[in-house]
Amino acid sequence: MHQLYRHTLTTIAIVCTLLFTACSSDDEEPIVANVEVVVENTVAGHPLKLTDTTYTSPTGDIYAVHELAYFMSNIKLLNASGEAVYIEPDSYHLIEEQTGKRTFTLKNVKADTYTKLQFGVGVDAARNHSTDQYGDLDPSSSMVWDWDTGYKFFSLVGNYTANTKAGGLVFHIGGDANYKTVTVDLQQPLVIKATEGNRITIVTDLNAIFQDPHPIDFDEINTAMTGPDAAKIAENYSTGFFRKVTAE
Amino acid sequence: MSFVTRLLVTFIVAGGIVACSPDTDAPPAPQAEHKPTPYQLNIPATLSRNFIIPDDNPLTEEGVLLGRHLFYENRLSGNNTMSCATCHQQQKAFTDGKSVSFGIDRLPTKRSTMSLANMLWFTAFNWDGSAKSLEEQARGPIENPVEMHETMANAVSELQRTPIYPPLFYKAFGDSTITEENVLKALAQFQRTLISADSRYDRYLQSKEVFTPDEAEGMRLFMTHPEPSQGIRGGNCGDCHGGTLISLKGFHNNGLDYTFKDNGLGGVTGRETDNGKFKAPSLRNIALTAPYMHDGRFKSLEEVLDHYNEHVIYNSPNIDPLITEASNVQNGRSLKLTADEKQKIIRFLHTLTDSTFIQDPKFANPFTR
Repeated sequence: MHQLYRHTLTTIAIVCTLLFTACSSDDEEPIVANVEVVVENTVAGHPLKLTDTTYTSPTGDIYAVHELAYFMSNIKLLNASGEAVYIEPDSYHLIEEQTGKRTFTLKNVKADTYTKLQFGVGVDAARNHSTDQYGDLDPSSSMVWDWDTGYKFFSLVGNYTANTKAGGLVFHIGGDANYKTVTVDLQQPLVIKATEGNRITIVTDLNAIFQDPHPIDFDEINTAMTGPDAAKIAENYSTGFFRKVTAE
Repeated sequence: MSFVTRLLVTFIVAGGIVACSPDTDAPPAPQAEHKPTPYQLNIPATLSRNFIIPDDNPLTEEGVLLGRHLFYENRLSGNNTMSCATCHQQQKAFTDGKSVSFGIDRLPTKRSTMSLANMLWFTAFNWDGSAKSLEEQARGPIENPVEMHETMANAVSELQRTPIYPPLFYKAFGDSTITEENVLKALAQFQRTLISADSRYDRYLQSKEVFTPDEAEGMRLFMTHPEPSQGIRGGNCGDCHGGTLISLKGFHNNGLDYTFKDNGLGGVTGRETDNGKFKAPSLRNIALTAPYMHDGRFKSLEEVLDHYNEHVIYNSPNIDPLITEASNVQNGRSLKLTADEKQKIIRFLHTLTDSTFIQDPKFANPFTR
């Protein structure tokens, strides 16, 4: 009986401790923040408008965009010494103009001063060939092809009028070789001081997809999926497309 | 544990809970007799875990059961001869086998009955996307003069006068006074449970089934946009009917006509650039849902494949780039599949038939046993 009584007292002590811990807020806790990432797709300085607005490509062709979507994955935040302090787990975000899906939130970001954002465009080979669901990876996603080829990484569908012909633009870029890692400087460092109110804004420029380093003339290339033309587009989206990244 | 100990522990735990909980000055909740049971949706491995159920219409066992009764309820039509299930017949994957549907006055509508499956994952309903939720959608056919030709108000008062419905509405919504809103909510709840994901294709994706070489090649062709410069042949179907919903949920002009008798999406948005666009529906159970297209013009899957391969009207206004830019020969003007490739795609389409779904007693007429 005595032993049981002691046992009980111990239990009570533990319960009390747990309750106190649950109720109290510890001022010493380091800040773990949410960072909202907002993507603004633009063309030559103007917000992208789908379908009814035409644009002039760097090679002088006229085009309109019906759909624009791409995956940003494996997001990392780097500090001034180049260390990836923040690595988002299961990090796959679909940016999709036609449904207005242009934001996502990085969770549990440790307080630090971040100077670079790193991410992949597309889906890494480890996750590109399965129906497993991580982040925005989803077997019923609009970016699915089949599980041999994997996901479309970048999809642009529209119309064009070039010098010699006119028709449709279908750039469905995928294939493991076209998964690209992009590292961009934040124009001013992201300094985490509070759990909320942190934001990274990424401004893209669609014309860069048709310009640098490979100019895309729609007279010659108006569709691409996995071949050499797709590789050109993929190189282009890994260079100038993510034009400006700011933090606040 | 002794009685004293138990009392002590109880006291401390209770004290802790009180200490943690916010002050509750609010009056005590009324005696809650109405407690519907949450409906456990089993999301199949091959479909997305992401879907939206409206906050104001959570799925409950009682709501779904009521919705199932209403789905099969003739009182929702003007002369009490038709229910939703008249056109949406389970054994045909909730279609009716007709080119276009007919209402109570034997008048034809302008469109073919759509199959009902996996609507949980869609956000635009009807061939023209005119309804943004299943709740909104349900009102359309009931009130349309060429469909069920009833007013919601009249349907509600008829249901109210029955012995069975007021208690069913009470159990589902806590109110035996029937409202239009609750009729539509219950119908939407039932329809959200219509999940089809037990086809041979689903089992293939989970390595529980083997495809014949023709089916496997048909699937590959179905999902592939042709790239003749790379030697990649494709049927180009997956550009609009891709993913495991076998629909990317888009609206497209697939080149059926040069002039439109029915503007489709354009009739809803008022935009000229949307004229001739219709929903690319899910092709799940497609072998059961003939005739095909929004107006049911094609009797067979062979005719459908022939259209996409040989008869697309390429100068149709707003024709989709995904169609115009797809050919199996370089600079080709049409798809150019072989007869053998078309047959293989049809073989694959047959793997999308879900015999569990069309026989599931949970979806059957509750009035006949």
